[in-house]
Amino acid sequence: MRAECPESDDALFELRFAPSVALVSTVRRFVSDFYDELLKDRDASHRLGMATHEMLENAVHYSSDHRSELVVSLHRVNGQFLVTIRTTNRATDERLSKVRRALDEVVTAPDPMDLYNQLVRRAAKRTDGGSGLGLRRIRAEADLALSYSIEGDTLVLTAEGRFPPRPEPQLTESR
Amino acid sequence: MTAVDIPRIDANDLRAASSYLDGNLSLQFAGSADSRSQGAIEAMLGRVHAEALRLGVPEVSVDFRDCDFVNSSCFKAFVVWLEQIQELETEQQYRLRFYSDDTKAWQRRSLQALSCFAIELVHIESKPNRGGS
Repeated sequence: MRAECPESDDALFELRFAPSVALVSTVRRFVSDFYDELLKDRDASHRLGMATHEMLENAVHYSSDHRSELVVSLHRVNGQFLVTIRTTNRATDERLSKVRRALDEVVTAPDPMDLYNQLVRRAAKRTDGGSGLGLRRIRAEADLALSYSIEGDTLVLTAEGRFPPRPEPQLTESR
Repeated sequence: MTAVDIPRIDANDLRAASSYLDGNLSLQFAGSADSRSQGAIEAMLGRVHAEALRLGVPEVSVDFRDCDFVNSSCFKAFVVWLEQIQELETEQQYRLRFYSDDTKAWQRRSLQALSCFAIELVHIESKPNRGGS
């Protein structure tokens, strides 16, 4: 794991590991604290923590070599915090094809919440153990932009969102 | 209190228990639900459905206020449960009342999607956290 601050107001860390599902939850708690500390916004921290969890859980389930990478970065851009979550994993052709279809559907949906509601209905009928909701949830519930690239057998999935800075709590004078 | 045959969950960061008191069947969830808990939640909700039908209750309450996270796989278990209720004859159907912590906006957002799935069966109620925080 690497953590650094390349500029005074930027934060970045990277995790490269062969994670278990149990570790995904540990990472979610860790990054939620990270987001909370920097954004001072509990709801934004939870949305970002949820997105990180869903992305990493997908990477764990579908990685063909049982390895995954997570990069989280936070930068100040035009007075707002730009948070980027990126997972990288290798996957089978079948999985890459499914992910491509799912992501294209999410990325091009005119109304993410409407699509999500349709997919909740579809999820109830699925019998393969999956829900198909994780990626859609990132777009609809966490309100993050999703993009992806596939190079060879490697999938890079990126979620991104902008958050206004929250004022520091005012200290009250004690008597 | 009448005994109900519903398993508890106490593993992998998640705790869930049921109670049946004065004709009210209720579930309480605490902690976080990730894919390790999916099977346990499916089994629990399957039993809740069977017991709700056996007891003929008009409503089951589900308290999420102490829940910190529910992943999409576990969320799906609730969707499947709702679909099972929808497939019943109207007179057999029962409602679900979800209690969410009004300080955890994510709970309301997640539950809203369930509500859209079965608007006539789902009621969401925001309440302060039981611990008062």
